[in-house]
Amino acid sequence: MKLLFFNLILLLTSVCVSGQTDTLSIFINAGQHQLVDSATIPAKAFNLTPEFKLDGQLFKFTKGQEVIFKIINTDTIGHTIEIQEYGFSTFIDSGKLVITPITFSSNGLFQMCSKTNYPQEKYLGLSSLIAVESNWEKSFYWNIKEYQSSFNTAIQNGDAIDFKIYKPDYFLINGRSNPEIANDTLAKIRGKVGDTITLHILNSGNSVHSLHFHGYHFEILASSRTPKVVGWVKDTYAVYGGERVSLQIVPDKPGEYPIHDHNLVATTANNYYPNGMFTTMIITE
Amino acid sequence: MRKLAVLLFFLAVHGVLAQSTTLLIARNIGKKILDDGTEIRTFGYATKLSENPDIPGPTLIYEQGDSVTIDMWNVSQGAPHTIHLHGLDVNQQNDGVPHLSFDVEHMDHGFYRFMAPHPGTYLYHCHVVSAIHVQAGMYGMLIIKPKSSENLTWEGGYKFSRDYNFLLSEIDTNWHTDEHLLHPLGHVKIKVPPYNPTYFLVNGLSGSQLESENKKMFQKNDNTFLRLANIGYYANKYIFPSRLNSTIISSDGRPLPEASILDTLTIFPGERYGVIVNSSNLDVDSIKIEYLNLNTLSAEGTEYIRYEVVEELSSNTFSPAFLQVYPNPFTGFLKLRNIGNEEIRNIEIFTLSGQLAYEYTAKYNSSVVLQVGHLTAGSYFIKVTKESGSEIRRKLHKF
Repeated sequence: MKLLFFNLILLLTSVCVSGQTDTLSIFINAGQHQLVDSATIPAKAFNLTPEFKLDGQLFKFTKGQEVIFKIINTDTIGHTIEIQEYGFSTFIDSGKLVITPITFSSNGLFQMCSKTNYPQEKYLGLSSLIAVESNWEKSFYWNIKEYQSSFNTAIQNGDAIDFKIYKPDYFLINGRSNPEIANDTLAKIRGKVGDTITLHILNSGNSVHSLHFHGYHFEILASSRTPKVVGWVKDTYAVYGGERVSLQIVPDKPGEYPIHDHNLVATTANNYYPNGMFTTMIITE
Repeated sequence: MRKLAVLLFFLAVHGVLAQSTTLLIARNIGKKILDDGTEIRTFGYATKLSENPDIPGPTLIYEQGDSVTIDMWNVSQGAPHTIHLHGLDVNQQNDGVPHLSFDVEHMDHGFYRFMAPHPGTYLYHCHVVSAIHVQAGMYGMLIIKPKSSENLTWEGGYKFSRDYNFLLSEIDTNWHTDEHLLHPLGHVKIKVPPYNPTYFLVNGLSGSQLESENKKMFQKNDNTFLRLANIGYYANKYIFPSRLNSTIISSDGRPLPEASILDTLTIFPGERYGVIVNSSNLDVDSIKIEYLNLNTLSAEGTEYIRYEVVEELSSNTFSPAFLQVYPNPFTGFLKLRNIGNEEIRNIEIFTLSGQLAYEYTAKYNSSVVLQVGHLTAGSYFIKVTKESGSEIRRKLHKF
């Protein structure tokens, strides 16, 4: 019945387009996320439908685009949703809908997240990448994070958690671990020799992830943490929690090359190797 | 076509197209004594069968443009091994990732080939069940130096008089038990224990082991180049005394667009940095390193690199730190680089039984190349005698 109600909202709101302003329905959903070893944990996500799915939901806009956000909260608690750089902050009570406009005035990578019980609700999955750019070609998007599965259960049960003793056991790219990441077209880099490939990354977790690229160096195009690193050419870059970074790769040879967290503990899932933050890019002639 | 062949032959003979072959023997039977006397089992790379594979493995040094072959001989009596050439951007075949390149089974040889690209600091490590094999000790530093001068960071880069390499890692002794080291083989999931390191290493040493090492010697108003690399699973936060004017100049084998003076530098797993230190003050102090848990960013270990800044590195400071001999193991040639201030009088190479196999008597101030390709394969001692008569000895291996 509840799902029917929210689907009705989706139907009604999705047709509300006024002039050049687009309407986007965003659902705050809670559910059970299935991990690479088939274990399930409580998690939350921003989705385009009332159906819960933790898959690194990306929101893409162009510079100057005006959008009406219709945020529908299907969760059992209220959420304050924020996009810090745009001064966007709105509270949506449980089971309620908020309609609010936003104009994306500048290019870049932004984070939309829940500030409720911060950082717990963000940690559960209410943190998405917003990409504002004009050229979408050969761009790939990673929302990386990690979970300590016992923390997810504790938060759901209302028990206290302490990030000072955080010891995650699952490591995800767009909600998936190796080898399932290969099935995600947003994440799996495929290109040709000479292509200009851009990888946009949001670390929506709490840990630092030191990503190492085989085969090619990359140039750092942007970092939300520090402008100092822009223009650096590296093969390993540590992405801090909350950081957004854009990396550009121009492959000079064909092949299949890994990209992985070089904290090799993060290449495991529930203490089993190799099921963590590890994938490959495939470059053809 | 014939002219080209003649030209290539000429270039090869004169060392312009230098070829370098290095043998690394992958072993599963290493032992390491930790700071408190605890002995653990390790895996590692050795240069000969009788050698304990140490942590870290031998530092491999090549020149920019060298055509390099690393011959990895697996004498593990167990798991397959590989060599991943971390940061060298080699092609897929030579990348050392077992399911994408090849792995090397017990008693097989694997050959990894590359043309040494940008001068800089790189790593090598095994990529088979890498979480376990790297923790087990299968890693080392790989350095590429510019061709024109050994005292340059890169062509047109910073001049320096001396350099030091620091490869940092951690040890969790629970990972060094047979239960985890002797993991199942094949395409199966491998169980790893929770990671709780209690030993924090600088070039394989920690605590009193590190303190008992000679101080690093810096000369006042003189550039010293530090190559810093992290192969552990924690971050390394360096805290430099501000008097060192520590300048971050390069990372991951590339110059930075802008150098910057920093008192702290955090290096994450897999990263490498180049730092120039140059102090205008006489000084005795330490560079502090905190090992940060990547999940909490809390410091769980601390080590110190002791140093002294002196007015001039005189002849009395002619210590092993001021003589570099590479490559080791060697094939056709040996390079000696004297970064002390006193001239060297004589160089002799002896067999292990004490027989003189090679002698070089001309004086030199900075570096010399010895053509030693005629020596038979095996182990040698090189004895370097300075003007005052004091000596330095090093053990070498010829392939």
